Amino acid sequence: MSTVAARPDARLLAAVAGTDHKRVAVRIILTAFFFFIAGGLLALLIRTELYSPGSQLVGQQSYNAIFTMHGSTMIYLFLVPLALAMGVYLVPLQVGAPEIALPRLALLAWWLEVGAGITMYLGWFTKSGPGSAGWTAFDPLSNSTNTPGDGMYLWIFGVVLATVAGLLMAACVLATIVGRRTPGMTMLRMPVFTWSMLATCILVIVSFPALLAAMALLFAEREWGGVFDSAGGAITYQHLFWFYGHPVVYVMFFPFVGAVGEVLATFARKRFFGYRAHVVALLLFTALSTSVWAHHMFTTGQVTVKYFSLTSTALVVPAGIEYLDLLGTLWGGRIRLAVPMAFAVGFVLQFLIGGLSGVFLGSPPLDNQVHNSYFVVGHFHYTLFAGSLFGFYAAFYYWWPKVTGCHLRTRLGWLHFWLLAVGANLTFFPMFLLGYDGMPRRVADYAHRYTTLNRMATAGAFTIAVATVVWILNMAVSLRRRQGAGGDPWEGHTLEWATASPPPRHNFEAALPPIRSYAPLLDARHGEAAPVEAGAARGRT
Amino acid sequence: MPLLGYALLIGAAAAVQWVWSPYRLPAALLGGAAVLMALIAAAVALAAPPAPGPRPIPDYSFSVVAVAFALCTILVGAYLGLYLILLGGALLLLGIGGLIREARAERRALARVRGGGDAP
Repeated sequence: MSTVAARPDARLLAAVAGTDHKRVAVRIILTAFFFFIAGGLLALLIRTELYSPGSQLVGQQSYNAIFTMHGSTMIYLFLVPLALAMGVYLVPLQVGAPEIALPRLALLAWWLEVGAGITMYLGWFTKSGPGSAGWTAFDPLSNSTNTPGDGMYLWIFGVVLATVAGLLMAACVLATIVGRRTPGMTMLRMPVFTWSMLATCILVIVSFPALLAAMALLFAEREWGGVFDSAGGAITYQHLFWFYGHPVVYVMFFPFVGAVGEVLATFARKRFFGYRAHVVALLLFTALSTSVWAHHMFTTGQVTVKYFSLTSTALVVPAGIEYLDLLGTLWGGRIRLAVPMAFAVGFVLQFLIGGLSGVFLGSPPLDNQVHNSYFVVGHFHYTLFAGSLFGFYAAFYYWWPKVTGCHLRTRLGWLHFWLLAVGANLTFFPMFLLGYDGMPRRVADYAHRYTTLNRMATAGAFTIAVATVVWILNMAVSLRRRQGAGGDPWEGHTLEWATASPPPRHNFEAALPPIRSYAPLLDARHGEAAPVEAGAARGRT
Repeated sequence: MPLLGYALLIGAAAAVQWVWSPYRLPAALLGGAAVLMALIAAAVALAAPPAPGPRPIPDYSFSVVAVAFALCTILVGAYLGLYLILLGGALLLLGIGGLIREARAERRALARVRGGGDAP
């Protein structure tokens, strides 16, 4: 079936208003990249300021604005949209659907994302500067007395728009998983990445409205006052914020775990290990991660510490199962050490450091020691940068041939990987030591004894910048001097590899292979379904 | 099933909070999330399965772009002034009108396909 209305200038129109989920996803990802570069430049400013004690480049208030906009950019405008956009592109392909459900909502999400970024960054052009109360904007720091001016309002609106955009993307992906799967694609035959997107969408739909409520209350507090004035008012804001703020970490983690699972299975040339256990662990992980948020508030003394410590520590169980599955997938495989595989292994190792340092923070006595210190900064950068971003790069190098139809350069890819691995560890590991030694976060100045470790971190940050330049160069070379990739350059396992690269408007032109497991292309290659999927083959879901 | 399972798990967590915690907000947040997800699970279970194959959707939709601009303008107008809210409101009406036009075109295309022809 053809689509409604087609004009000669459709290509130009499609760049602005196209509803093809692949084009929309690419536009969301490009927008996220733009903000990644902007947030990265802010990070370089931060690290340059912290190269030596005393004031180098910026004053205290400007420093507040810079770290606020760095964190806000990376969370609201880069990692969350990026994670969800991967689902917008890949989930319809992986479940064999001709298009995404609710494509107009996906398009709306992209434009709201653009609007969110512009609104938030317009704060730089106001007299008071942009939002400067941290990416969390805790009350009373963020009220109109302590953070006056228009920039903070624009920050609030930007966050609202970005949050609504995230909700819309999640709705599209969830509706596709629920209602657009091709015949034969039962729940227990969905690829690992699609399962991870299902978990992600659940978290978005449950937690993002809490942030909208927090922002609405913060706006009212700034406009009219009295919202958070009562005893426990500031704690109420923190509950609402962290009910979003903790699950969002998993929104920025699950899609990359799923992607890494796909990469490891493909490059180990074997079936993903422990598929069912992985699915159960993912659902348990999702439920638990909604129930741990107040561990961010241990030091307030106004939360049930034992409960939140228990649930936080319990996260190691599903996390352990997932790690075991990832390692089990490698075990006994015929491993091809390509660039996507290197990033996937980097993700597994570095996220482990982030995860284990999180166990420290889930323990109230240790959390009291390192709360609000650089230890926390090191922890979340190991999870989100050294972890999730490595997962993203694994996905990027893996699916780039599918999206563009051409290969990236291998040598530049390896250079990118090693520069990033060195840069990330050089930047973020010293932060653990700084925090443990008592250096507080969010300060523009520090005691002289912290100088060496801060200089190491600054050197690492600039190494990351060089790595990013190499990555951009690789994309440019790949697109200018195209080396055709074909439909399935990696011998992938899932349905997106059963179509052309890039896929046509309605995703699949040829008939799909029979779907007897979560790895239908592997089945087709070997001519049989694996024994582990015998139950699913009988239709049990 | 995954949606319902998730709702049950966080519903149980809400119950634990309600019984053992002196604070009510955490239990309310978890309970609200459990109810929301249970409602979505119910809606999914009751919804009719969509017809397989591509649907007649437009390749591009300027109405959506208009709606997006309108929402941004209205939101910023909440602080910067009524004129932006009015401007955004007008743009929103325009966008919604376009969406209605698109929906009618889709219905016509679907009717043509079911009648044996192909959509334009």
